Parts: sequence; structure tokens; C-alpha cells
Amino acid sequence: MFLDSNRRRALFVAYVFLLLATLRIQKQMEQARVARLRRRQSRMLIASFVCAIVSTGLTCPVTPRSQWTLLRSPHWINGVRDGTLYTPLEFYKQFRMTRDGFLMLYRILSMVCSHGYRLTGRTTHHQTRHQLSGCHSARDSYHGIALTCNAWDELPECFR
Amino acid sequence: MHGMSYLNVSDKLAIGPTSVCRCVHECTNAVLQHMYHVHVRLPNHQEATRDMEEWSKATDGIPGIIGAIDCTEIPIRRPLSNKEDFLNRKGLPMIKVQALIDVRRRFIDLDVGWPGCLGDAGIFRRSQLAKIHSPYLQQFDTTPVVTGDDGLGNPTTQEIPAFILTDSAYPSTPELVPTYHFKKVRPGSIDAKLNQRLSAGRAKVENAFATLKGRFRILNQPLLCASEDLPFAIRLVAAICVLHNFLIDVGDIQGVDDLYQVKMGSAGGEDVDENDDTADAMDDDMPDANDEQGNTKDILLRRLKYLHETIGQTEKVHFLTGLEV
Repeated sequence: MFLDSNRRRALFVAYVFLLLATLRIQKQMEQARVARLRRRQSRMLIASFVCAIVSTGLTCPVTPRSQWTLLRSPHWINGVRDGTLYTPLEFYKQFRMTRDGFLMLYRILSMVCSHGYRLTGRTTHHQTRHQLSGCHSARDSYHGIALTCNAWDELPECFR
Repeated sequence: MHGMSYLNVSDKLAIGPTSVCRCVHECTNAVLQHMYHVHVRLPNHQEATRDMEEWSKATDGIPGIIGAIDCTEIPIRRPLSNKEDFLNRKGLPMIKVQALIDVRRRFIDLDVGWPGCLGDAGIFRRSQLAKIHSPYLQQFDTTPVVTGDDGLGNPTTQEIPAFILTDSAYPSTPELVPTYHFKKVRPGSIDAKLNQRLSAGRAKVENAFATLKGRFRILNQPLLCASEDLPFAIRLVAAICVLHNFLIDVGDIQGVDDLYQVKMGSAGGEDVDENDDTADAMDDDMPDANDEQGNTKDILLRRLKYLHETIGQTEKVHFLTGLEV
């Protein structure tokens, strides 16, 4: 522990040398990693560029089977509507109605749906629920159910 | 659409689930607001007279039938409030739909949203139809039938008013003619013969429910919306019934008649209704018969007995004319 000053100086220089060497090595390794990543990124960029060129240049056919795997695909409803998906017998077995009836229903509900927002308004459900929630508290003599009719206030009189 | 969830429908139709939910709510309200009073109503005098002839053909000549009434159960998810009320006798949460149908299996009167614990007769007694059916049926002409003789060779006639066919859970009144319970009728008896004719007509209401649940399969599985929004579930069921009527009104009856064609003899002379025991047990306060006014069912039975005594057989014989059909 009682080294002389020359030895102490030599040890300090050696420590500093080792420290600098470690830092140097670390920096070289970091540079090598960054270079490797850059090379990989450039390769991926080139590959994606090539893929983009190929995909835009070529029309990739989508088979009917692959369309089923797509989320939110209108393939099914389009097939039902234009009659390519089911034969009339299959259609009847599937829907228990003829294609004409289905299309009539589709048409009337489309019409209702497109105008429904304006006709019915948005707050009616909450009003109805609020009315019923108070009425359902009484269990005896089915008052809750009798007052279910009160929930139909916004409906035509024949329904009340 | 086939009882699929909003997420599945949104995938099938390529729209968002929120939009599906909004569309379903708006369509339901709009259908009830604009189509209900058009497609679900009691027939006027002319329509009812025409329907009575069709009913008469279906039952081999029984006159005066306006429609057939019955209840069906729609499964729901257990509601948050008063959930015990909606449990049926099997312990499953249900709402009940009382429907009066015409000869084309259209719903001409609907009462939706009764709890599953109620019996059919209890629902009828509390329904709006119970208040209006007597004055409504009295506007139609009665049909005189010969039910016997006075011992001097002079025939005695009785009047058959317009009436509604029901199952054995309902009371027997001048306006309601229930079929016999299958346990309470002896095979081969006159009761069984009458039951055979009445069941042939009443089967149409069962067919109507079967068609409804076959077309709109959302009714075959518990309605999830009922747990939070029971009024909407009730409205949804009512709207579906309106759409059922709409389909029949636009002529979509192909195949239905083939599937559910009711033939005399094949409809069975026994009326099997598994709800009857519960309904009878729950509706003890319901009068079984109105002896003072005379039940229409008794008149029908007397007429059939008279046919049996005079002709010797009652099968394949027209109820009014007594001729072979």
C-alpha cells in the first residue's frame, strides 16, 4: 500500500489507458452496429420499393376464398344481393324467404335506415329507458310490465 | 341477420359496429313508427268475412273463425331489474309474445313484452285484446246450425258467433273456442273429432311462430340487449313481427304453405301444448266456462254429435252442410 510515486503514476497511466481502450472498443462496436442496421434498413427499403413497384405494376388476383378472410368485406352481402352466392333453394333454406322477399326487405330497411335518423331522433331510447327504469321498481301485480306500455309513448297510438 | 352479433354483422356488411347498433335502433323505431299500423291491425268487416271462408275451408266447414291466438316465448338475457319476473317455468329468462293471427299467418294483433312467468290466459286477461275482442267480434253475423230436434221432428238451431281459436290454456267463452287438452280427450270420441278440426285451424298460429323464428333467428337465442335495455328488446321483437307481416303482404309465401300445409287427419286430433300445465296452474282465477251465455265450443260439439247421429260419421263431412268433402 505504500508504493512510491513512480509506481503510482504508472498505475494511473495504465488505468487511463485501459479506460480509453474500452471506450474506443465500445465506440467501434456501436459504429459497427449502426452500420449493420443501416445496411439492413437500406436492404429493406429496396425490397419494399421493389415490392411496391411490382404490386402496382401487376394486378394481384383476389380469389373468392381469400375475400372471406378479409375483415369488413362486403363480398358476402354483395353475393347475396346479386344472387351469385346461393341458388334459390339454398337461399330459401338459409333465409326461409325468397330472394324477392329478401330484396324487398332489404330495400324497405335501407329506406327506413336512411331516413330513420331524421324521423326518430337519437334521444328516444334514453327517454324510454328512463321511463321504464322508474316503473320497474314495483314487482307486485306486474306493475312493471303494465307500465311497459308507457315506454311506448313516442310510438303511434295504436301501439300504446 | 341470423342472430349474429353486432361485430359479426359489421364484418359482413363492412361497416362499423357502432353504425350497426345505430342502424338497428333506428330501423326498429322507424319500422314501428311507420309500418306497424299498416301491417298489424284487425281486419275490417270485408277482410274478416273473406278470412272466415278460408278458415272454414281449413277446418272442413267450421264457421265464424276470425283468427287463432297463442303465446310464444322469446329468450332474453336476464334483465338487471326484476329478473325473477321474467323466469319461465324452466327457470330461463323469457319475454312472452301474444299474437292473434289470420288465415294467412299474419299477425293481426300483437302484445309483446309480458314476463315469462305469466301464463297464456293471464296474459290474455291483461291484454288490450281482452277488452276489445267482444265488441269487435259482435259486429259479425252469426251462423245458424242445426244441433238437434225437439222430439217432434222439428230441428232446433243455435247460432255460432264469430270467435277466436285458442289452445286449452285459454278459457272457453262465446268468443274464445279452445281445443281440448290431449290428456282430456278420448281417442275416437266426438270430442276428438272436434279437436281434430279445431287443431287443423289452430296449427296455423304455431306455424306462424315457427316461420317467424325460422326467418329471424335472432329470436332463437337470448336477446343480449334485454339485460340493459329491455324496452328496446320489446320494440325489436315487435318490429320483427311487423317485418314478418310485411313479407307475407308482399307475397313471400312460397314454400311456407308447402312446409306447413295442414291437412285434415294429419294435424292430429290432439292438442299438445307443453305450457298448459303451468298456465292452468297459474290461472286458477280464470273462469273455465260461461254457462249462462253458452259456450261456442259446446254448440260446435252439439252440431258434431247431431251429424254423427244423423249421418253416422263425422270425418270428411262438411260441418255446415253435412255433405262429404
